[in-house]
Amino acid sequence: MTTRGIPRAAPGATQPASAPPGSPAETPAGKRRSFWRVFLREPVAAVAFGVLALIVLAALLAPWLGLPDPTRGSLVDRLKPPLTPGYPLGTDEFGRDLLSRVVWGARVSLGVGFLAVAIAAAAGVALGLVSGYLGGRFDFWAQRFIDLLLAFPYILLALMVVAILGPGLLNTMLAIAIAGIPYYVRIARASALALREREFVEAAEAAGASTGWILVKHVLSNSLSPILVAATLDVGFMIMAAAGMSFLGLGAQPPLAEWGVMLSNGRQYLRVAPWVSLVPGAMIFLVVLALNLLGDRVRDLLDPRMVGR
Amino acid sequence: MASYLLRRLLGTLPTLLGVSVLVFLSLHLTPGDPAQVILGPKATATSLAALRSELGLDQPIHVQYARWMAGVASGDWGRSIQLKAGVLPLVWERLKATLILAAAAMLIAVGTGVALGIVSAVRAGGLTDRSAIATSLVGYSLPPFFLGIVLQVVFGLRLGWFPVTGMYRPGGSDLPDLLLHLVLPAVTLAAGIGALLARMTRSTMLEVLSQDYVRTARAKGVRPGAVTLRHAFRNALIPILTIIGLQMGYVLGGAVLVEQVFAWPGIGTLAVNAILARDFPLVQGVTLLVAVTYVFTNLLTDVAYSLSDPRITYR
Repeated sequence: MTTRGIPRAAPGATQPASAPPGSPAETPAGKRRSFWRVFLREPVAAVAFGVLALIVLAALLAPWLGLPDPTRGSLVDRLKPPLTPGYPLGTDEFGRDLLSRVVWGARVSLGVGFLAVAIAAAAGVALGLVSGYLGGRFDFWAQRFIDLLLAFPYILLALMVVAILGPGLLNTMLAIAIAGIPYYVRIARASALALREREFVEAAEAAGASTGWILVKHVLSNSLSPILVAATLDVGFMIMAAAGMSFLGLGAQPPLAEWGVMLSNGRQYLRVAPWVSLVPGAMIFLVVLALNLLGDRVRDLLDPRMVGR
Repeated sequence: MASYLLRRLLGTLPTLLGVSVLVFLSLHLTPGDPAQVILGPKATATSLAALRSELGLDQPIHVQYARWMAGVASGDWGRSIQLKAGVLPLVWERLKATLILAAAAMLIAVGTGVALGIVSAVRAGGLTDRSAIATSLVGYSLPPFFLGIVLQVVFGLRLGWFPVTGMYRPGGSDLPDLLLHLVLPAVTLAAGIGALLARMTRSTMLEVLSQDYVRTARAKGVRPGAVTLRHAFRNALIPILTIIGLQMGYVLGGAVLVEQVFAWPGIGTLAVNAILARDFPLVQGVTLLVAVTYVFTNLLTDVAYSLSDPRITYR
């Protein structure tokens, strides 16, 4: 599992190099197009993007793919190995189709991962920007609280929140999101501290703009690139954390098709049917690997100082 | 020097106090009546009242905290509801197993990660470098619970080289047996940290290797190996040390998952079972001990960092 505590993105990362004036890339749509073109120019990043897009698409379209019911199986067909006719990835201990379970499981696992990042980023960025911009006593106490949360290793903090809220998929998602908040607070605060000294922010203050307006219009919008890099690199981590919690028996519960639960249940059959565990495990690995590759690419593009590092 | 250490030690007091408050409050932050949460919906009024008075829940909250802290300081960490035993001896016994696993994993990770990072930086851009980068990317994208299962299937069940679960064979307690049981879980836990260390070592080494004094050393004819190890690596060592220190949190947390895969009798399995049973005194004990261990390893890293670099003065 990737580690927190190491700055994976330099705070205050620079913007992508702008296009020469007058070129079609100068318009917002053109800029976006050229970003994607540069983004996918590297073959590894393009493959990672393709794999991820395929999995996300399959997850979104799961009800229309004509897959068998992921929660029902036939006991005659239990523990069939992969490549059995009718069961491309084999079946589990109840004869349920593993392909169907993996695709339906993607909805849960990816959904929880993305949502947890969204919650952690929203809360962390809000607190970090306000704290960094306002400074003073609020900043002091907010930072002491964040220091306190950072005194706990990430998984321990998440476990403590699960202990408080009780086990379950929703509570686990909240737990890994809450434990992830300090990471975003740090990045957003660093960015806000640098921005509040800039002329355009001072000009807005002098012009009498409200604090809320300055925070959203000037501070947030100029902090987006380091936050985006951090969030992209974090999605894989959160998916892994959520699957890990389910693996421990604290998150999603059987018979729900979720990758961590599937992996954990299959452990009883490792001797006779290792694929029951290995298939969902390989899916988690594939998604996390693809996300890490994309995250590295986003970081290289948004922060050219980090290229090759 | 002594006063510096003392001041650093005193500096951890507010953190430790905050940690204790947060751990203490965890029971009170549960939605609803904590006694009901622990005993479940079928609890009788008498058993609820008995538990409330046993945990001191009928007292004002500051009195409860003071009592709890007094207990923690004097070695009475309460009793586990599920295991019906004192929390401190339970947690202490399990911590040893976790520390053995963590130390072994750290050793493997530092050895392989740093070596891989150095080779990668020296051969930057070449095939060796690219395969090292790919290996480290795979390493830190592998969920420990998945890697553990793969290793169990391949090296335990198929090849039969290593035992798949536990810390000793039934009835055994000798060192060779422990080492044999330790290999798979330690490698599993080490993979992520080793991968990150390789990456960090590579980037630090690349930075140092581009410095003027390295060029000077090369120009005056120092052997390439000596330039890498004596001139470059020594200066890269300090940031690498910090990163190793920062990994302690990951090791302690990651151990929870790895212990579950290999049925390693450490603090992680204890914590998970305690959470599932809603055994709050035990959950609080585990959390407190791990957090305190973490705070002190961070302090040690920090002190080691300032002592190892002559450019940093400790005042």
